[in-house]
Formats: sequence, structure tokens, C-alpha cells
Amino acid sequence: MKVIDKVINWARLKSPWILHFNTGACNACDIEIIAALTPRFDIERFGIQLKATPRHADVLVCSGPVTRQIRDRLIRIYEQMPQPKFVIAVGTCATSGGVFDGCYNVLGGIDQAIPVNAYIPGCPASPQAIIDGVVKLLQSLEESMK
Amino acid sequence: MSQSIEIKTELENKFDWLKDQVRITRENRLWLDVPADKFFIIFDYLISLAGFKELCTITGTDEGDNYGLMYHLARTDGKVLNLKTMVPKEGGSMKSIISYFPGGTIYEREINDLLGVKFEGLPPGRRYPLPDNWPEGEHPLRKGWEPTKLSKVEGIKEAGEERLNMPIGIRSEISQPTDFSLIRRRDDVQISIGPQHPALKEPESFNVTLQGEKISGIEIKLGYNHRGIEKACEQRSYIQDVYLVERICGICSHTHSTCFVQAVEEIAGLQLPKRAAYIRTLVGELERVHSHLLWLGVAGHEVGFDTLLMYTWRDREIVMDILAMLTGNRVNYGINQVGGVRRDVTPEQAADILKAVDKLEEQTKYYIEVATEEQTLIQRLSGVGKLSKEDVIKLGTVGPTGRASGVERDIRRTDPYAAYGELDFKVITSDQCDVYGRAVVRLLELLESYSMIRQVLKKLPDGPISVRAPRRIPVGEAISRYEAPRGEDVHYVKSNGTENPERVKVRAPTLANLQSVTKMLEDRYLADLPIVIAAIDPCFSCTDRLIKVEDKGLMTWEEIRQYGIEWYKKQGVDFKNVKRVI
Repeated sequence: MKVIDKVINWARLKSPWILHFNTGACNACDIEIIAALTPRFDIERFGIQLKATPRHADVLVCSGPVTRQIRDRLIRIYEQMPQPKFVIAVGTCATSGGVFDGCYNVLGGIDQAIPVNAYIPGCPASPQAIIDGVVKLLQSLEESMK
Repeated sequence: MSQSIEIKTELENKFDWLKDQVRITRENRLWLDVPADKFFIIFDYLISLAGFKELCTITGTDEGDNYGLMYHLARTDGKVLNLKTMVPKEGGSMKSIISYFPGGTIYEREINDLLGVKFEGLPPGRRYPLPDNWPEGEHPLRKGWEPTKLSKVEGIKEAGEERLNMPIGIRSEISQPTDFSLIRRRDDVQISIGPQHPALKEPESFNVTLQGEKISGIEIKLGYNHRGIEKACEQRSYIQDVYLVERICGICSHTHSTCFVQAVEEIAGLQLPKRAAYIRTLVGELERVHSHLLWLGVAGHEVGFDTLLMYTWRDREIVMDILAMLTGNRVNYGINQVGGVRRDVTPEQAADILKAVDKLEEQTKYYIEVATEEQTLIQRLSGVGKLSKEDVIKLGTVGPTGRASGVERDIRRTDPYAAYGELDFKVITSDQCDVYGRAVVRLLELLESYSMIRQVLKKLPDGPISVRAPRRIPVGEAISRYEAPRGEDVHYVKSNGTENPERVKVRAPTLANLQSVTKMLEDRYLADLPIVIAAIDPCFSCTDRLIKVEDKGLMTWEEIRQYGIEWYKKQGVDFKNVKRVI
């Protein structure tokens, strides 16, 4: 591994940039994700920053079951992210479809549309759980890079 | 009750064939079935002479050979008259109510999409709320419809995809291929915003047409969050539905579950214990506090005042802790059950709540001070997103958005539910008619909520917190209203005597308010769009609707240029020395 790659990897682990996308959620997970970014939980102390565009993001944080209407958009956003990219599914619906399993306009969890790296269950997932999930994802990345 | 009987007698005197047709199920609730050919005679009378000037929603039902259409009409004193008519499935159609309620077309479109009822005179427009390429002839709310045909349908391609791949900014047909075809387009500038956009926290898409920097047309495309909850409610039992409707929206989850159980309790004839009513009110007001603080932060964020976002969300955690302590969960409280509430409030908890409310009140007073004295904020928000009182009444705008335009409309006051009839509170209004007014109304409402929480805890009666509810709910129907943080929420429940409801219809407040957004944005600048949309406190999880402001004709490229030059001239910019390049 070249020195420059090492630096990039270090930066990636120390400051992952996230993009939040609601794929049909009830808003509960979304407000908990925002809560994780605000002073009480302050996820920024891990270097995590919320970005406005997929082109700047390393991690896609999705909430909610995938509806038929949003599926294409989700894939498009995923494709716009630069490599390497990671996906976190926040909430029970994003993990498996949750209470909306079987609804005619719901396809299921996020993994029905794009590959997922980490699942954070909960209805809604609490900010603590979200932080824990993100940290676990980073740990597993760190190990895979060794 | 007496006033309801008056309405009934008046109707019977006016139309003798309505003798004993009007049913009164309880105070404020009237039901009337009329044949389709006489529908508009009654409809017209109710709106123009009997004062039923608000349309809550239209419910469509599938009843054998017919479709049932129920128009829920409301009066400012809280009376709701449910006017029902039947349309045959074979070749039947209904006249659109667009001339009475311009905003009612959305409800008609929804019924058209989900049930397949045809409406005459419904202007052409985008379908709602099903996905763009949903197969024709498939109507999920029809009885016996199964999603089997769809199970193999992968995702669905969005309509207009190819347009999105054209150069950014200007998307239109090129009138004539010439050497200057790129410049001599004849069209406005169109910008599409969303469904993923930093200013939007939820997936919804706005197609904005611009003339210069001014918005001339806006098309809102929703349905990204359409999950099919109404159908799912029919397939699940009442007990499961309480938790399902709670997940219509995570911010106003208590709203939806309370609204739903109120309707079910009314059908089942259950007498809600007083203590349960007070606990529901307590959680409802705490929810309003968290929602309004959340809104204040988001509004601050939209105008670039991120400090306010961080401050309010820090303080919001206080109320989130209280909600978690009371109900066991920060969001989606699950405190309601048919017949009462699941958890009681202990005296220790009450003491903690009072302490937290004191702290929150202190903080809120600080925000009020900021909002009323901070010039940057006042100047950014004043005069933005104007909505006159007349428009509020015409468009049926609800909640703080309507109250900020001077319309005193609050379900807690006009049609009291839970314990609101016994509490002392003010309905906050403002005559500002703009985003600033909406912010002030919400801030002052916070103080009212604190006072109500204190009253609830002081008056909290002793007794059981729930009554036993049957698993099978007797045949019947009910409509329930609730003042959500965003406005009036309406649930209609119809039961058929089994464990599962026959039909559940939800009208979320954002739907009523979305129709006013286009009005607020007319002739405003693009930069105002995020805050104007945020100012109605939209919740698209609850909603999934669409609307369109009529385009004001097309402008040629040259006209746009001229328009721009004139606009800048008015601002005092001189173009004399600028050479024309093209």
C-alpha cells in the first residue's frame, strides 16, 4: 500500500461523510438521524458530517422501506456516490420492511434495491443505536484494511 | 346535540324526502345518504346555506356493485356532516366538486387511482398517489384485490426520466433546429428539486418553472412515501392497526393513533376513562412541544440560521426524555390502545415532567425573544409566503398555517376530544399572514402547551386507565378529528363486525396545507422556496399528493432576457454599456 493510499484510508475512517435519504420512512428514523447530528448526541465528534449531495458522500444512510416509486431514485443516488461506498439501513423497515411488509407499494428492506453494509434495527432506531452502528461499520472497515 | 337536531329539522323542512334520513350518532356528527341524482341539490344547500364550508376529505368505499362516496363536510362550530352517495361500478361516474372546492380535486384523484371511480370534469393531471408506471386497471382499494400481479414487478421507472437527462437548467423542446438552437429555445427555465435535496428532509419532488428568478409555476410530485397503509389496515386487526397507523408518521405518531382509536371507540360505544383521556392529552401536548421545537430548528436551518437548529434540538431532547420516560419510546410511543392507554403516570414522573416543562418554558421565552428582536430573522421571514385570510378559507388551510393568517380554527376548541373540553387555553392567531407569523404562532403555542401540561397534571383524575375492548368491533362507522401539531387530522373508520376494519381513511393535515403552498409561492423568488415549504411544517410521510399552479404562458428566450434586463433596471442596474454578445 502506497503512502497516499494509507492517508486516504485514514481520512476515510476518521471522517466519513454521510448522506441521509428517506426511502419511504415514516419520519421517525429520520428525526432520530438528525437528532444524532445535534448537540446531545453530536455524531460529528467522530468526524461524521452530513453532506448535501451523494457525490460528496462515503456512506448512504437510508431509512424506511423501499417503495416502488423511490426504488429507481435510490439506485440512482447510490450510483452517483464515489467508490468505495457504504450503505447503512436505519430502522426495522429499512432492514426488513417492518410493519409495512406485504403492503402493495413496498418492496421490502433497502437490500431489495442496493447492497447494504450495516443494519441498525429499532422502531425507530435510537440515536445511540445509530452511533453504535456507524462505529461498528467503521471498525469492520478498519479491520478489513489491515 | 340540540344544534345537530336543528340542522336535521331544517333539512327535513327544506327537503321533505329527507324525513328520518339524517342520522345523528353523537354530538357534532351527522350522517346522510342521498341518491346520486339528488346529491348536488343537497351538497349545494349544505355549502351555501347551512354553513358547511370545509371539506375534510372524501372517502371512497367498495360496496358490492357500487362505489360509495362519502363527503365529510365540516362547519366552524365543529359539526361534521357525512354526505354519502352511491355510484354504480358498471359505467357509473360522479361529477367533480372542483367548482365548490378547488382543492378537492386531490381527494378525487386519490379515489380515482385507488378505487377506479371516474370523475367528470376532473382536469387532466398527474396521477396520485400510485407510482407513475403502475399498471392500468389495478385499483388496490377494491375488495378482493390482491397484489399478486405486482409481486414480480421490480421497481417502476419514473415518468419523465428522459427529460431529466437533458442539459441542466433549460429543458424544453427546441422549436426549430437552427444554428442557435441551444439559445433560441422557447420556454421558461425549469428546475427540478428533489426527491433528494438538502433543503428537503423527505422525498418529494418539485418541478419549478422560473421566469428570471421568480416562480411562475410549481408542480409538486409526491407518492414517494406511499406505502399503502389504508389497504394494510383492512388486512390487519384493530389491535395491529393501532400500531400501524402510528407509523403513518413518526413526528405526529400520537396524533394518528389517537385519531384512529377515538373512531374505533366511538363505533364500539366504549366510554373512555377520564384518566386515560387526560394521559392522551398529556402525551399529545408533549408531542406538540417536540414537533414545534423540531420545526423551529428546521426553519432556522432553511434560512441559514443553523445555530437555532442546534439550540432547539438540544432543548428538544428534554421533551424526548420525558416522552421516553412516560411511554417507553422516544418516537412512536405506542401508548394508545382501543379503550384507553397502556401506561399510567406516577407522581414521580409527574414531578419530573413539571421540572422539565419549567426548563423548556424558560428556553422557549428566550426563543421568543430571539424571534421578536433579532432583525435578521424578522427581515428574512416577514412578507415571505403571504397567504391571505380569504385564501385560507378558500383553500381549507389548517393548523398553525391557517391561524397565522388570522383564522381561528383549532379542533381542540371547536370539536373537543380527549380532555381538551376541560382545559383552559388560548387559540393563538396572528395577522401577519407570512412565514414570520407562522413562526410566532408556533412559539406562542408552545407556551399554551406548557400551561396545558401543567393543568393536566394538576387535574389528573384517579381511576382506571383503560376499559376492556372487544376484539370484534360491532358494525358501524365513525369520523374522528384531532388537532395535530400541523393541523387537523381526520380518520374515518368503518367496521363490518369482524376483527378487521372494513375501511380506514386518513386525511393528514399536510395535504390540506400543501394546496396553499403554491399560492404562497406565486411570484416569489426561488430562494424563498425552502422556507415557505418548511413553514407549513410539511410531513410527506402522512401525505402523498400533487398539485399544480397554472403556468402563466410561455416566454421566449428573448423575452426572458428582456424581462431580466428590466428587472435589474428597476433595481437600479444600468445595462447601457453592456454589449450584446448573442
